[in-house]
Amino acid sequence: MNYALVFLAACTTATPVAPEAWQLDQDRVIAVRSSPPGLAAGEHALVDALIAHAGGPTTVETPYSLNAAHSPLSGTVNYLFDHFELIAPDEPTLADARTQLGIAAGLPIPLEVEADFEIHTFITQRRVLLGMHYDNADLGTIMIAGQPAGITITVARDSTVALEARGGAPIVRWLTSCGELVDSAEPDAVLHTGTPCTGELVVVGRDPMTTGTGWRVSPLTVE
Amino acid sequence: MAVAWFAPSAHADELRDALERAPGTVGDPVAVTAETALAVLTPEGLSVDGAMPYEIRTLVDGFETPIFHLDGRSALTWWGGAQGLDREPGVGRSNGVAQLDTTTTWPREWNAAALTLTTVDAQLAYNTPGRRVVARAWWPRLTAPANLERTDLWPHFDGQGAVYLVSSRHLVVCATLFAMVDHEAYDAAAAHPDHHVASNRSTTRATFEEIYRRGAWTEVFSQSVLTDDDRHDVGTVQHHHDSRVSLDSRNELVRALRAVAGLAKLAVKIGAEANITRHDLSISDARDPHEDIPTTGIVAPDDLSHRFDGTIWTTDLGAWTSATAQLASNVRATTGLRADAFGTDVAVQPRGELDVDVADHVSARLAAGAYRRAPEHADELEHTELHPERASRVAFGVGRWLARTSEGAFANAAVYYVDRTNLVEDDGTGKLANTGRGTTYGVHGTLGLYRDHWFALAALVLEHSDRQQSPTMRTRPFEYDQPVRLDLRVTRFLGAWQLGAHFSLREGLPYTRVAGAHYDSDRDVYLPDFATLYAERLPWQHQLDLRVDRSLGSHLRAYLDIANVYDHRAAIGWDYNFNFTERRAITAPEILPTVGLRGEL
Repeated sequence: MNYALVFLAACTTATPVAPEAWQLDQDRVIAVRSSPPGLAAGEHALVDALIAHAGGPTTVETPYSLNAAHSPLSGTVNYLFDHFELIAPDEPTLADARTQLGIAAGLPIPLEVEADFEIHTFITQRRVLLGMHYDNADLGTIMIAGQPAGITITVARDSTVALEARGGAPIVRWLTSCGELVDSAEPDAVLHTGTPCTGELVVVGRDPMTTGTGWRVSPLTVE
Repeated sequence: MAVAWFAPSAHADELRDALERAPGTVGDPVAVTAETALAVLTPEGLSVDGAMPYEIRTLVDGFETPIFHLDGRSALTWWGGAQGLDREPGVGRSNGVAQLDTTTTWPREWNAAALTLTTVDAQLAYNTPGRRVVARAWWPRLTAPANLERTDLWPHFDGQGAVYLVSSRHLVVCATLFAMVDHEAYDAAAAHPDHHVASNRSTTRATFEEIYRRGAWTEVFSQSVLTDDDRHDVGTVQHHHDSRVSLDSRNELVRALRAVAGLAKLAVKIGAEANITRHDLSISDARDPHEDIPTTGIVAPDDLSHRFDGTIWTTDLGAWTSATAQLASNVRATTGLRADAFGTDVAVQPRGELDVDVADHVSARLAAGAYRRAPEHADELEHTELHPERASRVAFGVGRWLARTSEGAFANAAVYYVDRTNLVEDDGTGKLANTGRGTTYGVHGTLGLYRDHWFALAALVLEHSDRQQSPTMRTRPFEYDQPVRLDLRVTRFLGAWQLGAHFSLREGLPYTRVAGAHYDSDRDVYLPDFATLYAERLPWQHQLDLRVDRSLGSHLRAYLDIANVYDHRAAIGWDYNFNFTERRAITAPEILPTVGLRGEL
């Protein structure tokens, strides 16, 4: 294969196509969370998502539909009165599933679930782990311009602000509705604030080992 | 060969000048050959007669060699002699349905050292009857990946050399060397390591050829060694390394006979070749692309769905025989048979040609043949269960030729049909199988005029090419199906001046529209959902190129080449934002002027 040509064909533009992944001012899913992401036998979990909106603040929403159609443990997904819940099977059922799927005893069973939000507008997939309890990701210490982040964040216009998320989830994503972000998928990101603005700063943490997800939404003012 | 087909060698000086100095190509012989032969230009290389680019065998001195730099420009130079795209490789040799062939020896007759300097490359050549060397440094025009900058300014290098070791009445022994080196690295000043991109490629091909002639016998014995180290690293986790060493040996014996069993001018060939290749692979990357799987070309930086570490050996053994005879004063027929053993797969490929001189300088040709391609491209190497792909081709053409020293018009037209079976298809999960088939048919015509120091050439292809993933699936367009391709060129020789213009018009290639996307929360990426495969087409492409050459005395020449004069930047693909809600056209290159100066000592 002329791998190089394929690679170059994918890289022939110098700037990313807007809107970029760090921009909050658009309709998109930011993260899907299961609480908890790892369920011991018989344990219950709720699924929700952080969703961004063009011209408006973020919202946390529950799924319009939820299924695990391609798994022998599809019965884990239940609709209870007015919402979906994940209910981990009992130990014998989990043991039987491990045998079917070729998973060693004592290891968690991955379950791929598809969650739709806002009536099929946002189709998402995520993984939860069955047979072992895990908690959602901790974001660790959030530092804004070298100072611990408060409930609300205020920064100066036309300035460069260092953002840090340390000691928590290994994978971090920053998003903003004010200014521009550089290295938004790194724990250490930079916010170029630009003109005065009122919006939000979001940081999402993920732990790929536990599938844990956590987020923090802070009101942001650039003055 | 296509160039000979369009430009009879008799007019070597002016016609060869017209093609060597073709507008818009900055002296790239493969670009000229691709234009005149109306090959489809793709991001992966050239596509001819409905074949994937990796099916087109690129031969240097008769042996398959990677010839494209990372920016897509070829590493070949015109001084190298015969150069052409052959849609019907010989009755015996070659198992490819089309091949691009260049020969290091037998170049243009000149005896000098030449230095060529242009705004994009520098070339130094030395040419005597027994030795030829050319070396070139080429500064590629590449747009860096998003938010990155190229961090090194190294040019790409290539070179070719040939030396006659022995030359006597009966024996000629020559050694040739081809080499190409590329290095590119991209980075951003404050970027995290997972943003780094690096590509390195170094290729050499060394060939020894012995030609022995005595009486009616001619024997050509060749040995060749290829080394090819191809490395791509993206970020901290993705890499694709393929280090290849390949040994080839070929022996062909030709016996010319006066008349046997009533057949006049009988010539019989018998030959055999062997190839053994070792691939050292280290792959941790996204899955390799396959023609039947839609893609946006955008690879998530954490996609490691294709992992392989190990060594793979491939062996190809081939043997062929053919006989050419004059059936009548104006009828010549060739029949042949080629057998290949690709590992444990044995393939027999019968081929034949019938040439009839129907009038003065007018001939007709009927050619048919079967071809096999071993599944040795990209991840096919990792699937030993695959079998060779099959192609059967039949073509009928009529052509009017120019006599060696005359002027006038020349033309040819051909209709062709290619049937492909056993094509390697991907079921979408990385599982490959020989379930595909395809059909290509079309008409290919050229019309040329050489008179009073004018050279004009028009070429047109009308073609249909489709594929089917499996017998139960619907037939759909081939990824590189380009139904209309038109190429016009004119050159005027005016004393010390040479003026050239070139216009090309091509229908857009098919693409698969992104209908939506779904979000993978664990990986934090959006994955595209595609509409019907290859149901949309990119816009038509057209461009005009101009070139002016001026001789400045007998040892110096200067030129100005302007590619894409009216700066038409047609979309040749699409780039998307992270969640595929917006797209932007990847366009053809903008207007590009190049100034060059060549001096000979």
